Amino acid sequence: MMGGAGIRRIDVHTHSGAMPNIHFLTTREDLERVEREAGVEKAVVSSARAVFYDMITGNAETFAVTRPSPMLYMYIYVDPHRVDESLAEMEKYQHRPHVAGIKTRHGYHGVPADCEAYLTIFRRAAKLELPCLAHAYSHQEVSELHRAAEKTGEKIILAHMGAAQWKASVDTVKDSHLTWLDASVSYNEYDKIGYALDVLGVSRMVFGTDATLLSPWWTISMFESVGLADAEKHAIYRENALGIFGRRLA
Amino acid sequence: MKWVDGNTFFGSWPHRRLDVSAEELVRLLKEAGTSRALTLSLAAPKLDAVEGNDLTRQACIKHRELIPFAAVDPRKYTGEGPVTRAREVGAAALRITNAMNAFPLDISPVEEIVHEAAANDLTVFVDITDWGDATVCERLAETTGARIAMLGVRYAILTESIVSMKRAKGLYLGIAKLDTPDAIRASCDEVGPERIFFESGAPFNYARCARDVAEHNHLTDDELDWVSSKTVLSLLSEEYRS
Repeated sequence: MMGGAGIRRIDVHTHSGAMPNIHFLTTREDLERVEREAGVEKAVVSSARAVFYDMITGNAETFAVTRPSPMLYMYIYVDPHRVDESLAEMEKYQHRPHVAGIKTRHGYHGVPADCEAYLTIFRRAAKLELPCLAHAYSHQEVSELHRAAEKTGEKIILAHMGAAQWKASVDTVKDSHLTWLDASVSYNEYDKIGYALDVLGVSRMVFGTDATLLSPWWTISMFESVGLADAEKHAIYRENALGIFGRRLA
Repeated sequence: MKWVDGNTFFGSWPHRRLDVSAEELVRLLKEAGTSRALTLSLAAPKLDAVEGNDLTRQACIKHRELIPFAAVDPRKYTGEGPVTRAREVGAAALRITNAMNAFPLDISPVEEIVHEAAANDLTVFVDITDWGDATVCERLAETTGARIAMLGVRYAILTESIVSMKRAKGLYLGIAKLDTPDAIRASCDEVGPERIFFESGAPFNYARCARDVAEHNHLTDDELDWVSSKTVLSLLSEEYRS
């Protein structure tokens, strides 16, 4: 298999359900198949409903999708406009099997990630050992998430690594001990992976794909272009995620 | 299987510290397993199209893997001639760099250039950057009879390209940004693999991402054969089709 024969990948960034654009692979079975074909053993999921429309019914949908699957784990979506409800959602799901962390998209909600609402949510998540996958689509969003991690102790995976502003984003989180980069995004500028690895090192990258919106092979292809050693592939494709999520992905 | 890339560049890039020399492009293509690639000197969009086309021809003589685009710049186009000259000096296809130079496609110089390209049997490669671009290409293809290859179509605006391709037979679809598990499969079902082609945008983009996604989109060998090389080769001037 391309991309490291025998490595059982952990994908920290996947979705289920229909997205608001052309997208045909929407079921649990679709997600499992796409991930299995890419050598993924475990994948952490948030439903499109939770991300784009409604936290509570969306989380219920994510739970329903992940519960019967040995492969799939759940992100609890949190909404900064509904702090009490977000805390209640975390409480509701945190002890369930296959619950890995929280997910949010602060730019979509129109608030900074280091606002008081998010700090309240992140402090609770840190206490409950629920790491966060956060949509980070610009340098500003990355900077806010970096500050929020420093203030709360929450571990935050920066999904999309700042998108087109990946270089400034990488530089901003250089000295962080609480943030990791997930390279999934349609921007596949050469050589953003090489730059991130040079600046941050292998320990700060995780494998996220945004499947089934994006093909896992898009991200795998970028990593494979860098010429990683087997041990580095193991770290990025698997071990770093286990380090972040600990018992929740064990 | 042979892979021919329908969109690459080389030259100099002052916006970022990046080796975009022809030698580096050839190295990246080789590393990605790409046999040949259409290419254009960045001098064409960034400095002067005539000088850029000369540099493109020279690079393609030196590196046999490279196939020459010629650029015609709407910002300097006042009337017939530049496309015919590009054809006479051996361009395989025409490149309009509307994304890099930030001009829209629905302007009269572009329309005239496409007319001239059709008269010279040259395919025109354009960037699809947003909603509306594919519909403009559809109108241009229908009114001029030209072949238009659409580069960089994103999955988020793919439906417009598919609908326009069904209405205008002269439109073709590049896959550089179709990064989903199903977009290439779906596009083949909708318009046929003989109208879909591999492109990467190297050296600005990773040279192999689109290929890896295509190889995992559940295409048949015959479909992949078209997408990987046969479609783009069919769009070139006759001397470059093999």
